[in-house]
Amino acid sequence: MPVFNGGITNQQTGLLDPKLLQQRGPLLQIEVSVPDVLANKLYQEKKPIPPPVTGLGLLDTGASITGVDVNALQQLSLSMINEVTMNHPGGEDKQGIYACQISFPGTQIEDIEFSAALGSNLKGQGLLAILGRDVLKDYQLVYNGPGGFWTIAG
Amino acid sequence: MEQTDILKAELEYFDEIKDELLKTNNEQYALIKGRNLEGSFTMYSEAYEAGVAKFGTESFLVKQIVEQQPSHQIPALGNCLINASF
Repeated sequence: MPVFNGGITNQQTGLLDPKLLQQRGPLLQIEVSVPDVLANKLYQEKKPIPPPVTGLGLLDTGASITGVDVNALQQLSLSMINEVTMNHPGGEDKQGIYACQISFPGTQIEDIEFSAALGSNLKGQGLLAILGRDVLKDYQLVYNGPGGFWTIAG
Repeated sequence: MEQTDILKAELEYFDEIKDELLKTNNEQYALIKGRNLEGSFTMYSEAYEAGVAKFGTESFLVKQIVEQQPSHQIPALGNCLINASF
């Protein structure tokens, strides 16, 4: 079972910093791309395949669904495949769902070849994606606050 | 085309045929294009793959056939808690 340890290093000390983990949360570098099945179709039709988008993913056990930044989804030319009801403090809204592939470069965590992700406004938060329980259900996650690191296995 | 217009026809058609689908394809994933049910599948990814195979980059709907569609929440986003500090 692949295991990855993450944390945020203090640039001055070179050590994992619990305060930075508290401030920013469990972040890891991810890549969002066109699903393989769609990439193969585009290749067969001699159409260009949009390059993957890289950025930060936040592991969020409070999120019932994974959200990916809408700007990234537009860059990937992905079409909406469904809509869901989202509950928020102001009430509820319908929001679009997009099929994408999520990879974890620099780790041995296997690619998620198909993720039905919510199109979300995350760019302003400095995030590419929020990885919710629909993804996390397949992993073990341990958050070590005092140690300033977290571990994901699966 | 506005976000709300994409899949409008497909979503309306799904609502029209939902009761019938619940009898025969409960919990499966319906693949719908326009006002045509293109098939139902055991897994979300299977329905999506079938949709891509037939329609490529055109929009199509993949929706689970259940009595009550689940609602979702990302409280940290909705409550502006990401990067909040005090």
